[in-house]
Amino acid sequence: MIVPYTLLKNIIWIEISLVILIIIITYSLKFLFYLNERHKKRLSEQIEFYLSTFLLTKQSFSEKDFLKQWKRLDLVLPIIYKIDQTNHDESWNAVRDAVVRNVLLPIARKKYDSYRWMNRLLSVQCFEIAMDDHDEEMVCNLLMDKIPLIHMHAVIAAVRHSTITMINIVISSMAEKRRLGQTVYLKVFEQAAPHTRDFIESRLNMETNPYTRATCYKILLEFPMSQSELSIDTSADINSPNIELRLAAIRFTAYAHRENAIPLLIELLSNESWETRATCARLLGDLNSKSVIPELTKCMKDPVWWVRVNAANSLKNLGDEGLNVLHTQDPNVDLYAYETAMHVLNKPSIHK
Amino acid sequence: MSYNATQFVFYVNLLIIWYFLFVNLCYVLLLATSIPDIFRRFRESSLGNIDFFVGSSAMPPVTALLPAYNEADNIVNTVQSLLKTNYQNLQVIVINDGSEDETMLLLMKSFDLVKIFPIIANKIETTAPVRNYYVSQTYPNLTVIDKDHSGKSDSLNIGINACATPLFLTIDGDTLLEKDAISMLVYSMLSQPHTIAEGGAIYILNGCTVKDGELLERKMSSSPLVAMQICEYLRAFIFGRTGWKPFKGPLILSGALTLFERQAVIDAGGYVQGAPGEDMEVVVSLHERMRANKFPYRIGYSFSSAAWTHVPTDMNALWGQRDRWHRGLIDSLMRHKKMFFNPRFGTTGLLTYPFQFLAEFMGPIVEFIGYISVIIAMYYNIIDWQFAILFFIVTWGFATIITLGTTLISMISFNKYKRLRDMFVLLLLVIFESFGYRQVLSLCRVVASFRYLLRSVI
Repeated sequence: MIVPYTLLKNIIWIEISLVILIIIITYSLKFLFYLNERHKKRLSEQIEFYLSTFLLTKQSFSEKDFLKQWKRLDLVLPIIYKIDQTNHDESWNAVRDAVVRNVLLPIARKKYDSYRWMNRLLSVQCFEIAMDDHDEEMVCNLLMDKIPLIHMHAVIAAVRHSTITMINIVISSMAEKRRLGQTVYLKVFEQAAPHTRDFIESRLNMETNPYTRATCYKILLEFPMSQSELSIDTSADINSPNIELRLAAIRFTAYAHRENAIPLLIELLSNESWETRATCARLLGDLNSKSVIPELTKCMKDPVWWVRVNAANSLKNLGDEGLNVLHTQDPNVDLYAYETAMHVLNKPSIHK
Repeated sequence: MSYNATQFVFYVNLLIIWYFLFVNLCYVLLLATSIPDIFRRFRESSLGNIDFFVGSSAMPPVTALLPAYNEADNIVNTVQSLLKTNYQNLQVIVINDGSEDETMLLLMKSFDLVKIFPIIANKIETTAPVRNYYVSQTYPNLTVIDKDHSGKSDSLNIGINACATPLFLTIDGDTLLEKDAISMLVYSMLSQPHTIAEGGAIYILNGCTVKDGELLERKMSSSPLVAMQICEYLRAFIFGRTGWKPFKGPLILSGALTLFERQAVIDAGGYVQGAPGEDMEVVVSLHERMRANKFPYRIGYSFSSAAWTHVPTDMNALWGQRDRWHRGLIDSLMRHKKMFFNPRFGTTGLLTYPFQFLAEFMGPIVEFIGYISVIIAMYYNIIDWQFAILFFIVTWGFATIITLGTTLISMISFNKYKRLRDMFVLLLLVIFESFGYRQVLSLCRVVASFRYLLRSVI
């Protein structure tokens, strides 16, 4: 017999031992987890109580009373976050600032380059709340971190404490990101300080990489438009061979110059690139000027579906006059224009 | 019986014995490789400061795609559970797949829907026409697409076309999400570079108390059939998913809770129409495309993110479900057969795919041949009954170790069943699962395999 009885019997004994071992190990671990959780909970309660006494007595924070075992980012950060949600008064802000600067930042500086990603994450979350000038280099390093969660938090820290070096790294990093990263980065810029715009403009003036230039235009659209945007010369980028840069520059020009950009957008409706024609057709609708209805009507006959559908959608946005153009499309004159109009009007488009 | 026939039966038995020892050893190894990740996730959930993440502006927008076909009993609860999650940057798209019951009517009534006319880019080819698009007046982040019936794959493709966010989540019409499920899933996905898909754990909703989309009480169903499935789910979702993580991820993620990077799925061609196991098919396609192009990627599984779903309560429905699952598995394996032991596809081609083929597809067939050949061998005294019993104890012991290990790991990490009674019942079921239940499901898989193979031949 190739599988003898003794082998099977030995396997059974091994299995029984394994079952017993698994039960012993898991229950021992469960007990250890329980003790650890209880210890952590007790420390959290102590810290919360300690911080709340400052809020009640309005005393200034003293680091020497802050026990050594409390000096843990994973314990203090959630408590700060919790109090932040409910307390917005000045005394808490002062206590919070003192705790972060005297207790948390020194730990964050030690752990920002830890090989454990969780430590780096906690460090960057700390930098999000506060950072000093000499922390800039650490945040710049964290902006390059390979873990998405860490570099996304680093972008928040960089935009919140906006300096030209950090913003430049954010722009370079964003230009290399896929759509997921770019969406998050742009969202962070919604809350950027107004002076951040100056850093982006100066980068745009110096930059030669088309993708980075396109990124600068995208970020600038997140800021309220001002006089300085009007002075940016986009003409070279509008004619760029790089499609991403071209479209970003067209969008920027349309929103910066509004009605004054209409002649340029109309001119671009005859561009050989369908992406450019489609973008311009869409932007003309967004600018809400009824004077463009004849041009959009012409676009309804464009050979590319996306141009036609964007033009039809823009006509729909322009109210009764635009809708009238859509309703009067005749399938016997142009079947494509008719079907696009029916698609936008959500009517059956099958015509025999 | 002739000498040659005796020899043949003897060697068949021997082959089956070695096959089972090998497969069970692989399962034990998978259990071992899953343990570090489970503890890592446990550490993350307790130290990772997830509340900070949930409250920050670094949360990428996510769209939940919920295809529903005749889900009138559960649809409102499922949508409510989605709308009540703590993930702030969430869009919900329900795709009514031409339901013949009151699914659409209930959605209209419960969420105050009004018609809209959006422009949708057809990035993925779809077949069924869309009847109408609706948006909720009460919840502006809820959209409903009403379309003709064309199956789950086509519904999901329509949802992907309508989705405007870089991430999308698939969820079943009879599934309830835990409040932090999406946050945990996104957190897990972003905690590793190049993750294109992240699956979550599925628990069984039968027997639990639910109100307005919220899970009020988690407890085990009193039905033995449902309780057996709880054991199976725990086992499948711990080592069957987590164990493959060191090898770029599992081949199967549950459609009831999986987060995808939208562009990656569009590049892979979306969900394949007519595939019986669309959940597996899309994941295997992602593996194949990323490996073939040598793109850096990872497919993850997060045990900390949980959803609860209904499972069949009678044997007929269970048979039907497992038949579909097994045909889905075979169909996906056949569609991607070029990965089989192909070094071009790395560990996915050399380990993950062959294991699915040899253990999951071939396993039930070998098991049944084993039962028949043991009976024949005992009848003709080729092997004695003592040996047969010993062998049964060995295979049953392996199964018990694996299920016991997964159940206990689940108990000490993300324990969902708080009642002591439930834990005791679970441990008892682990022991009795091999007496009857396992054999019936193996028979179902054998029948499914033959049906699939016959259909592809004829």
